[in-house]
Amino acid sequence: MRSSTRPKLWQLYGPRPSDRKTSFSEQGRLQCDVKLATFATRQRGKSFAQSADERNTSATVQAALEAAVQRHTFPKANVDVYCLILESGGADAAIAITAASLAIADAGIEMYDLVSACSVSRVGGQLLLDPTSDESHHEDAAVLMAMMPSVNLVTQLVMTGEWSNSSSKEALELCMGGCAQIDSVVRQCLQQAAVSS
Amino acid sequence: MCSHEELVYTREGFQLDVRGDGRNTEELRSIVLETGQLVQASGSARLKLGATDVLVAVKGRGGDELGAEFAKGLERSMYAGLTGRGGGLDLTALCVTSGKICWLLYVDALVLNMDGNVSDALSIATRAALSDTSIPSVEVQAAEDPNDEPELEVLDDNAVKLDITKVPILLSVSQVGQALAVDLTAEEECCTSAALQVAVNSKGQLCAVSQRGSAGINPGIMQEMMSKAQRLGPEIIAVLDSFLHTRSMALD
Repeated sequence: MRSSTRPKLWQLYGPRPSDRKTSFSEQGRLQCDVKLATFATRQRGKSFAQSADERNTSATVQAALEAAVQRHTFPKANVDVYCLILESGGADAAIAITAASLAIADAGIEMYDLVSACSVSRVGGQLLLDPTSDESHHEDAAVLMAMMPSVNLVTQLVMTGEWSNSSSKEALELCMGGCAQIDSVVRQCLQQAAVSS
Repeated sequence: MCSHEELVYTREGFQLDVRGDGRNTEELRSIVLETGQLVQASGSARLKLGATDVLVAVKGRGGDELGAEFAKGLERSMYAGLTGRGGGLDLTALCVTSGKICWLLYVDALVLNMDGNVSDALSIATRAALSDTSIPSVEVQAAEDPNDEPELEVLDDNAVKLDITKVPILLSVSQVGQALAVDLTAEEECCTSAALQVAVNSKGQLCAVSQRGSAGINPGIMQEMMSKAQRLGPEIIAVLDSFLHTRSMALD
């Protein structure tokens, strides 16, 4: 998935049988792994092992998608989703979540709804939707929201920094609007892919 | 862990605002708090929230970079944005020589017994431990050669207490059926599908929010959860602060 200047690559494996050592579960397991390519950021990153930030992002993406995937349709099995961020340009986690949802839908795994996500940064009192990495470096506070727009459920919310009542409401509404916009684009994309294949 | 009938019984209780131990949905379990039992630590607190038992120790040591390490859930609540403005703890209080030497605070938490709501218990105990923490004053003697490291002498006499007025606590608000509740026991946690972990400071401002659990939350209910946390958080902090204040007066 390419979002203007922030290309990401998602690959999905599964459903496939889980390891023998994992206990029986009526629900399938969803595993997400996010990694930054070594050339993705200004400074060269590590090529092996995930950093703490990458593990954090992976956990956020996984939590955002768990509510949307119908895990009871693949009991005892694993769906493994791998993301490689080719260029980090800001709002990486939000784009990763949206792209993962697209990949899972494209793979034909049943979901309750598509998940779209976006972030808002507060820079000097102003709220910026879908910040670039330069903008987020100057932020005082941030929100990341992932939601299923058709069923109107929020699957992941992460807020950092100090927020007053009014500014938090404004930021959340901005995020919900952003998610709705992203959702319509994602749906068009899936329909086109289905028509052309 | 819980039978189906127990889950149904517990969920129905929540709708009627009555829980297994007689509390309503907005009450916390009784808290037993002790500070300062660990002599080797700069500050410590032992907290029991019902049967959940946690011990938090804060240790200071000389370090080369400005920063503090907390567990992930507490970390987000303490840190501000990337610029460093705002945030729960004033990190400039840890500075020895600006731009060169500072104290590194380590917060080590030990969970002694888990009976639900461990994250909230840890955050309250951490706040208590930080209030118990004193940073010794450091005398910096410049070496004769300006390129050498200056000599540092740690004086135990003029220790300065940390200012915790802006430190938030974590309050987890969980959804059980249609009801919203705080401070769930381990048994009650089986009935909940989604929870919002909200960090609130003494002024009722949101310091960090993160969603837990594997189900979605309706945006209207999410706003209600945040308002509930913003209302209950300052009340809990006020009770905690008055206890810590009377305790520090008694010790002086």
